[in-house]
Amino acid sequence: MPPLTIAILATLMQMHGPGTTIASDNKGVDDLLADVRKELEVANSNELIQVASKRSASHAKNLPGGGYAKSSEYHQTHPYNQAHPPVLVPPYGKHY
Amino acid sequence: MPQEFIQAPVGYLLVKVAARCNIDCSYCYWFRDKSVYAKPKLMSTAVRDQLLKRIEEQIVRHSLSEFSILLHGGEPMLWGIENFRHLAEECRSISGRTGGAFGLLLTTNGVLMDETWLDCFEQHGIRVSISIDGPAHIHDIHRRTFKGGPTHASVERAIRQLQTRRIPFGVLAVCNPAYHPREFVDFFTDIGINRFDIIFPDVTFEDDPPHIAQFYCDLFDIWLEANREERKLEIRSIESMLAGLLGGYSKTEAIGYGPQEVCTILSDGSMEPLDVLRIAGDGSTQTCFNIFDNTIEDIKDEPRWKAARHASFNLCDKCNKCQFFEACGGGYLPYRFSKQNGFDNPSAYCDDLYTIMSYMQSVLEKHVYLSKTSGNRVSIGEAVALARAPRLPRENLAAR
Repeated sequence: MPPLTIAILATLMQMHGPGTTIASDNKGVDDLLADVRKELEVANSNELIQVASKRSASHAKNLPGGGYAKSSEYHQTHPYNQAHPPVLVPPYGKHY
Repeated sequence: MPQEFIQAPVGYLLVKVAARCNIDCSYCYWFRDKSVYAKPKLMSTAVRDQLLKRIEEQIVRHSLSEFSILLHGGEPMLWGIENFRHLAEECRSISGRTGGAFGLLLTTNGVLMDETWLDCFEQHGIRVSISIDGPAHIHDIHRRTFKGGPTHASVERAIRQLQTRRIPFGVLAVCNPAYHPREFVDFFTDIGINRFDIIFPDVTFEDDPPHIAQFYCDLFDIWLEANREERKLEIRSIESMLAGLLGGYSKTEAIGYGPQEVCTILSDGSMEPLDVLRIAGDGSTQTCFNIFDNTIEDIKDEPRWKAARHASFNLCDKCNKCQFFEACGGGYLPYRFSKQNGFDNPSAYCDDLYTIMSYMQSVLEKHVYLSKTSGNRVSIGEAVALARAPRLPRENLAAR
């Protein structure tokens, strides 16, 4: 199994039909997946192509439909590139 | 191929209000760069006031809805409670004038904590993180006084005080791979802390640190078991690595692919990139920028800050070919530095990170599944394998 990305997951969801979601039998892992599920909702609502990065596509190239990336959309959709990126809002790193 | 990242206005500062410390930790990155001794011991009121002016200017110019300041050192509480109060009150005034909310954060060794400080934290909503390396026999190996004495008892007392006053706080420990992580976790949970982080020891690529893979694989096992039925344990490093492997985003700058954009303000008002880069050697982070001559946003034009940011997401060949490229992101930027190649190296912990992530990946595969509307489950490993199989049409997959 490759490391998962939103792009890979979005492809898998699409392949397994509407309403498919990702989950875990471990509560801790499932909590982490809550963020992923939100991302996937955004991906679904904005069309899958918009969340795929070049990098994700290269990792996903063995999947059918793996060549979906249009990197020109990347800057507008990747969370690092939002005005208030969710990942980089402190506290992080040197504070907990 | 590396990505480009659009830069948001600076909304977070790491502020070194004290360039000295009141304890003498053997592993501290800060004092590996002797040039810190040339800085004022404490931030003066003139620098403090200029910093506040620059922050207000930054909020207004960029219409920021929030701004965070992490008070750091050395030991930031050496700056004194009056400075803390003044800073917090001024931040409140700025907030009133601009509408921008403030986050005031503090990372401390806790040794100076007393009821007066607790009043200050409570009154001004200052969010505290305490550094403590688990139980005394591990903590006191590295975190000692200048006279060689232990510090664990003082830090534990500070934690008890925070708990008694019900002031929320975080805990940061540094990994010591000579011990089993169970000792850290048991210590923390025994004193009522179930949310903490155990971070990697700071190194450069030129160091030869002990391997940490087994420690973190064991720590992951502990985390997994504790959170099986309900959420009982939160360990940031573990969750950040897991999030990356699951397609989510890291909660820490030390792991995951993304830009390093921290701006550090020193006690003399100078502006530098991420403070841990000082580990690279004397004066390695020094710049000509300071808050008297420059705006906060100017840091984006500072050559060393720009070089660090560029290096943070332009990874070496080995990283570019790695399956964990996004989840790992080359690890923490300082760990990639060597005098020979600059940041064009994998992490000093590359082998460990690969081992940890491979292990996590193999375990996740057993616990993650696709849940279909029919109620059927498809394990994530099986889903990927099915997707890779060239002869299975998609219609068949959807029907399974």
